[in-house]
Amino acid sequence: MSWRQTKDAPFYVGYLNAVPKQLVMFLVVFSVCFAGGLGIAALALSSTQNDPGNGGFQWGNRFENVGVLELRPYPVLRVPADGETPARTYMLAGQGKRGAFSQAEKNQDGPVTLRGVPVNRGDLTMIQVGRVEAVEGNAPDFTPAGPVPLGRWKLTGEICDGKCYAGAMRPGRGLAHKACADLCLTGGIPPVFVSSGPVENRNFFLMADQDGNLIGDEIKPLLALYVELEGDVERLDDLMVFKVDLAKARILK
Amino acid sequence: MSVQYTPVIWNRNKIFYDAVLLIAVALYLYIYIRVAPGYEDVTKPIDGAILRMRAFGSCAFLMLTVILCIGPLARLDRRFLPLLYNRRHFGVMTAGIAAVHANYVLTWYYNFSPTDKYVALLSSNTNYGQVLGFPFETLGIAALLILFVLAATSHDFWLSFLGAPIWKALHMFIYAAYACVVLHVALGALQGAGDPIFTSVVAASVVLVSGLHFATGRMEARRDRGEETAKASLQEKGWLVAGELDEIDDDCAKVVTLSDDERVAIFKYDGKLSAITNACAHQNGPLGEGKVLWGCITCPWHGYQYNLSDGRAPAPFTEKISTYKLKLIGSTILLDPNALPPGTHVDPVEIGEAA
Amino acid sequence: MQSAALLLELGRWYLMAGGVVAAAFLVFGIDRVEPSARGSYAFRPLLIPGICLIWPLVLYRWFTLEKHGEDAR
Repeated sequence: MSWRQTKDAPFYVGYLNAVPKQLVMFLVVFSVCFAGGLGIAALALSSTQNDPGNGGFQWGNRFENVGVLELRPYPVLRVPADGETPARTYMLAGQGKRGAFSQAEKNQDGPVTLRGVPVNRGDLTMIQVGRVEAVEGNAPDFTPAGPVPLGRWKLTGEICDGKCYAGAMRPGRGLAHKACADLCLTGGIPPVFVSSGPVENRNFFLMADQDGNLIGDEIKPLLALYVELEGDVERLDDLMVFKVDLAKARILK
Repeated sequence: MSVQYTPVIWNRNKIFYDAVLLIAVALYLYIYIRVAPGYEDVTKPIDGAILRMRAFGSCAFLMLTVILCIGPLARLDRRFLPLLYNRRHFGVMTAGIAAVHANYVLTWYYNFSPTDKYVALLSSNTNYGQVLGFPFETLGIAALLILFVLAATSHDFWLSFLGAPIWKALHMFIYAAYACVVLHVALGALQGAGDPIFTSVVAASVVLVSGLHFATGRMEARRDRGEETAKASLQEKGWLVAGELDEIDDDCAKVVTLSDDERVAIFKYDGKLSAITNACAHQNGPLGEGKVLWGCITCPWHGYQYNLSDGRAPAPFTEKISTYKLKLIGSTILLDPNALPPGTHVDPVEIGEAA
Repeated sequence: MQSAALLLELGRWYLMAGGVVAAAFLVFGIDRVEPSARGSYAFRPLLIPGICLIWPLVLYRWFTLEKHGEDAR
């Protein structure tokens, strides 16, 4: 292409309404390609997004159970066995990005009736606590079982916040979601380790530090990344707890 | 340019330009948000807010890519010049779309928390030392701020008030914004579970933008080294040989290079020759690639006009550009390389018999 | 957390100062330094966001143009 302007070349001046004929066709073709290209890009980008899985709020399946609230170290509800159904342990979260610590701490003395909405993804269930009431009168006598140690494990996977990953957000993991997970943990939602390999067929673990206490800010640089963690695994009824030695954590990618 | 400023000067071409832009953007968002989810292979739908966040974010990224391609494309092929004419509306719209993306992020990922969302935005992740897990949101904020400043200073008032050098320097930050956006995407969305299509789109954008700029840069460099560089005249001391008469079409110009940042456009019109600087006072558009319309040099970028004999914009406009002295020996055009102060009258050289 | 809140507070003050500069400039300054703006008012609100964002530069240009007139352009 020559730099030199020639007498015959079309010359476009924006404020003149007449556009040279040779250019009109070019511009119409360009406009169609531009709009069409964006349309195709939208279809390609949007239709190939990764599946966020089947996690989600179970609005039609409200949760109501009688059990005992414990801090292990995050709030959990221990529900006694009932006929065929074995005893269960549910992780708890509050509304939005808040934990359920205040309800759990207030109602430690005896059994409670807990109502809420389950957020569920496969084996992982997080209950968004609605109302907690102490059971009046003749409460059933129930002492939850202690933790069953399953030995020391080195696991790889991702640290998520238990509520979003369970399906409160779809998708609720990955780096794009890291800041949200960070806020959730700050708000008191229990951290959950999603392991790439199972322990006793379970891939989700409630996390605690190596002494079984709450995890502090040292977890934050590890959030939403592919990490290797080492620690003791315990089973509380059906819930796995991973007591992690964060000093030994490694970021893999 | 204008005698009096108005909020937006509309004309048919701008309305057409904006209409095409709006239709294309609306089409993108509609397909992304409404149509494509029907073809998604998902167990349960992606959150509406996250879907829209992605739609607006990717749309802004693609728009920014196109904006950055318009400049070099118009240098490589003049038929793209009409895209340049109303590019500022393109930019303002991109800033708006990016703002909607940011708003979805704020009211979704940073919402529902006891922490204020703006505080959370700045404080939730501060691991600036990490590459993976870097707070890529900050890069998005930086890009958005730049887009806001550029959109807010796109009115012609700002060009006149800040002066062309400051305004141009300010608007060069669009490249910083693009770099921030690419990093924002690369350290954020692209780190998720593999999404080959999105990854290829981002890579294609980077290759396209840098490739076109590289190609244009090479062309400009070749041009400066090539035949268009004026050579000293052997006969006439102090004058440069600018070329032959028959190299120039009527109402068109030949551009000669004096040095890296000085080019002169020599126009032939009505049997006369005049020389002015090649740089338009508005945005340094290449005047020598324009034409003479109604007796005035007309810039190919935005149609700014100047009288041929004195480089002054016709009244009531007030822009002035430098003029140069010419002389004709036989059919050879000689140029005095010393620029005259902007607006200096120089008698045009009559071509007469030599032509 | 504290530095984030501080940063936001600074940003708020910066924009508020920009608002003051915008008011002063659009009411008094613009007519003195920008001949083309004299008599046109409809476009002025359009300048407010820009002034709020880059008000230090606006002040700098305002003073330069006051001092050196059209030569500074």
